[in-house]
Amino acid sequence: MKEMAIVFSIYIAGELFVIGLESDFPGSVVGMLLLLSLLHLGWVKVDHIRMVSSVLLAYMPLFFIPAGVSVMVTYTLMDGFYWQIILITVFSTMIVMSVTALSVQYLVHRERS
Amino acid sequence: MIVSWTHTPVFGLVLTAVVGIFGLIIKKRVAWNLFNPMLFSMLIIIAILLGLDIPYTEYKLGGDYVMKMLGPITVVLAVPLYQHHDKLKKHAFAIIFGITLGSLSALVSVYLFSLMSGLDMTLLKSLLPRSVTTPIGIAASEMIDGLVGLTVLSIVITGTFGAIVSDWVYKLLKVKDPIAKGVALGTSAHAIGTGRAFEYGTLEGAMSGLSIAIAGLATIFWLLLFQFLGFI
Repeated sequence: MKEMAIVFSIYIAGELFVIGLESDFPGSVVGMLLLLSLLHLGWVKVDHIRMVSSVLLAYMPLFFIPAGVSVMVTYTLMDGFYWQIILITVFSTMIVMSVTALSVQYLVHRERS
Repeated sequence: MIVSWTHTPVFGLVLTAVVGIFGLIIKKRVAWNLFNPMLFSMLIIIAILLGLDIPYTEYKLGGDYVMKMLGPITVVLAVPLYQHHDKLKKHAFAIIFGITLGSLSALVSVYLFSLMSGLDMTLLKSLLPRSVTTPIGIAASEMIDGLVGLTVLSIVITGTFGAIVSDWVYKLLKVKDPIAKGVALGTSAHAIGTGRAFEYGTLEGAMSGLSIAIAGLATIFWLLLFQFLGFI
């Protein structure tokens, strides 16, 4: 319970922060940065949230299901573009993989030598 | 009779939990790495709703509660990143620069391909966050008014395809460095890519794992820039 309280307060703090800024920025991502900072500062220890974080991360796919199910009402908007969507996804994925791998490999080699 | 209790949030909650856990159990039983429990459960639930003629809006009552947990899940993505931060230190610049550039290439390529294929703005926006981990992808899609369902589907296709082609891409481009292999899998194919990266080795896996949260952040920042510049 205490672990849940810590994670939820950090999440709510993130949400309040973006409401305060009147920004579209996702509050959950602000919460992630906040937790990362608190871990680095040592104000929160991984042990304080070990249970809740491992359970949430292990069951993560469960929580995506409702978002996925929503395609049953929005799929008509994709009409006539199914192949395009798949091809865009496939080609773009290869581009991202290549750009990332080559730039990291180049920079790591340069840092080593 | 069956449908009398579908008007309450309990229906969506129970259906998601039961089918979702069933999907996770199957995932543990099958030897097929690319089996996706989320996609499986999603299709089963759609089939159930269509088969029993239950409107989506009734499922959504409970489904919305489930989605509320995506916030706390995104928060705890900081934990794996923190746990691997010692591995990040040595080549921090190379890794963060590579992820930031890779995330930009995702947005630019989706943007250009979508325009070339004649996709409308809504579809384009839904595909933009497709290379990041699902909870951040959903948040990003909501931020730019995409269709969350399409974003989730394209994220699944991305991860699955990325894990399939990584061997081939790395051979073709002569990528041998384990750090580069891991970071590129995490950046391009999120958690599914990380599963593949762990098959290469623990260093590749750890690198891929820490890249997921950084790629999510980088993508959000690039999207804000796209919005600021009026591209979307």
